[in-house]
Amino acid sequence: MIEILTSGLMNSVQDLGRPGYLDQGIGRGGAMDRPALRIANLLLGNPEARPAAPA
Amino acid sequence: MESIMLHEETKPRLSYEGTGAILLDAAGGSFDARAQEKVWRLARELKFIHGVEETVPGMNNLMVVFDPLELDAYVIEQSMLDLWDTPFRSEEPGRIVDVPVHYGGQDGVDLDDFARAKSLSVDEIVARHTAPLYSVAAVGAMPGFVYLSGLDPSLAASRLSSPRQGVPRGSVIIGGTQTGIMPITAPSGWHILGRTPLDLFDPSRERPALFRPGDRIRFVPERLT
Repeated sequence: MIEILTSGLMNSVQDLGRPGYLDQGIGRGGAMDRPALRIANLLLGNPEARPAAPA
Repeated sequence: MESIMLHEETKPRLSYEGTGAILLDAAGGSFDARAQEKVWRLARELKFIHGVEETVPGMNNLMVVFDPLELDAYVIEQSMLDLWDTPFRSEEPGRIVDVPVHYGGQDGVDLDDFARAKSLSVDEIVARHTAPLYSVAAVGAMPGFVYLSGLDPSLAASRLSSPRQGVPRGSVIIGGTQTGIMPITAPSGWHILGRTPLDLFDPSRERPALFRPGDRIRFVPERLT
């Protein structure tokens, strides 16, 4: 359990986004560095798509 | 009519967009309709490669988004170049959709100025804008926006010196050598000639964007005001 006491500007929690709609003009969103998010999750033994807060 | 692609065209240039995307750019001096058919074909077929996440057609270009942990960039690059050079038959074109447009008045606030600047009558502007059968080359820039090819070159016009903050959804607009339709209310520096009641983007539809690449559209004047 993590309790967040204060947060900086634009802090967010990101997952791998919603791919598949770029050809309709809709961005996928999610983490900017997707491989980094996945690698971080794998190092922790998490499912690779688990959301995380970028730091 | 089916025909085999044999003509000479710009050799595509590939460039990396970060670690997980490659842009294929085949744009030459002017829009090439047959190169665009290749763009659509690659967009369809490359999706079947394991590790390819999205294929995104643009105007004579194509972005392929892939998973760099699953797919070697060199492999997808080679597939793109090989497929580009493989001869193929033209596909049957997509649907033809009539787009009703109210030209002028509140719906087309720039129409009178546009006609004056071209030294043409409003009727002539509307006639030239409604004459072509436009082709949807690509969808993007904003949700559901269509990049149309086929604008009469005499209607090309440089963008407004300062863009409007909010151009209403449905506005039929001209900017540069292109014409388009606003799918949502958003900023734009293009000239507003009219407006359609068609809803180009509805997130509640199974496919939110009304049009897809390869569709063709015809503007049909509803009334002149």
